[in-house]
Amino acid sequence: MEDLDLLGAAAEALIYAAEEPITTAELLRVLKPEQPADLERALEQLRESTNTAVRGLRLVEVAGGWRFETRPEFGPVIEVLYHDKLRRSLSRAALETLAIIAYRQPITLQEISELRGVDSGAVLRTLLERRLIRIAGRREALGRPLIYVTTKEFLLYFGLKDLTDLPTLEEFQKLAEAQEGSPNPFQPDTAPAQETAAPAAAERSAEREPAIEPPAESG
Amino acid sequence: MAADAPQFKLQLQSFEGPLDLLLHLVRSREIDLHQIPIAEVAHQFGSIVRGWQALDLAIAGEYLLMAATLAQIKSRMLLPNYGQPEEPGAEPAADPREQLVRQLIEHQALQEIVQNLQGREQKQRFALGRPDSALKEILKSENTFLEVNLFDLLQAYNQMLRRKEAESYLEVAPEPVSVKEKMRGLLGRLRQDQDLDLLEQFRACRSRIELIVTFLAVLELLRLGLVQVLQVQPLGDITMRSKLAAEQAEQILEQQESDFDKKE
Repeated sequence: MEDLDLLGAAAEALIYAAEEPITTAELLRVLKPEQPADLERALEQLRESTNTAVRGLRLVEVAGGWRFETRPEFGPVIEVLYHDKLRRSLSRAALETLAIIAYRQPITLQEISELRGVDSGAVLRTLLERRLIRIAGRREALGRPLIYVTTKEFLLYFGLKDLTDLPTLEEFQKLAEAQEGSPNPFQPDTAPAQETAAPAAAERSAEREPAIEPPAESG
Repeated sequence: MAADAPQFKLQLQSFEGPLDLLLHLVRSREIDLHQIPIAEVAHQFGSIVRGWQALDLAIAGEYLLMAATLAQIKSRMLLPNYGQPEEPGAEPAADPREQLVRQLIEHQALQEIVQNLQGREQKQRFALGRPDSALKEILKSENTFLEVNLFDLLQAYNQMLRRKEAESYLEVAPEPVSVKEKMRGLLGRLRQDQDLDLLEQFRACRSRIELIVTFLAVLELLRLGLVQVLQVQPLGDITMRSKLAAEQAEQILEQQESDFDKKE
């Protein structure tokens, strides 16, 4: 057995034993490989070995770390096991609201409602209860409204590595342009007011890239 | 008008607000968003909303607002100087439809994103991680606590408030408790017991007012950084723990009280 195989096996044990997706940095800290690149190779090897139709589990990078999860192809049997106990999918209103928060965070309720054209307070509550979003503080503006950001659970729910894993706004812009020849619809048109507990805001106004920064650890 | 025909089949529930309905109307005519025939669309939108009202459906105010906005844009486009500079040499007046068009485009892009998320949601639905029950036994130490956020606290508080409403007591005499006293009381007990079950503290309250005062005291202690609140698992018990040594806490508390007295 090669050293790389052993390293991969140790990583496999750690990923299984960890409570949450375990970060590469954490794996490095525990395993102390001679070369950090060794771990990456070992993980890649491990991922490939699980990437086959005859395994029920696969290794994925999600929410900033590594975890094993069931292969979606076996959904039908899992559905039988849990029967009616699985959560219902999100409503369109919830998805719309979540999408706006994901791309424009941190954002206030009023801004969300304006973008959607409907009051979104009730939807926001559902999302808070499901822990897909959280309150990240208040905006230092009139009325000091609460600001919302997505959580780690959001990333897990949609199987995203981090927020940059979402399709970029440019891609959606192209889709919209193909249809209408529109400007980038989700580009903030004013510089955001100063935010509390929202370091991503400064970067957003600085560059034209979409405002996609991994949110701070979820609470 | 032929385009009006299918509107009776349009159901209020199938639209996520007025923008959604408007986009549907524009799309079903296969017209460029920038060239919306505003008079026709305003008419159609208005008659659909009136139709819903006639059916006694509860129409959200947003629909009425949109109908009014459309009518306003329509009238502005009827003004003779639309498209002409107001004064010689000035910029031509902006198209009154501009903002609406931008909103529609945004709404359209949003729908693309929603579709994308929906696809991911379906794909991820059966990609389940390891249930964490296996490690619960060996990991029952303080590092398994979750930091509680304000929302969790409010939920716990609301839960208790609802229960208090249901309970009834024979009230003998009002027993006023101040937030200040409550804070001291909680800190005192924290010193003895190390950890306090927050829900237990709420449960022990005999009246609504005491419950409110207790909750305010907890928030105040948190704000001053004297305590932290922790939770073992989502929706589980909430534990309160003292963060500072007794003398330090006392100092901060006294400082706070004197500030408070000054204000009064």
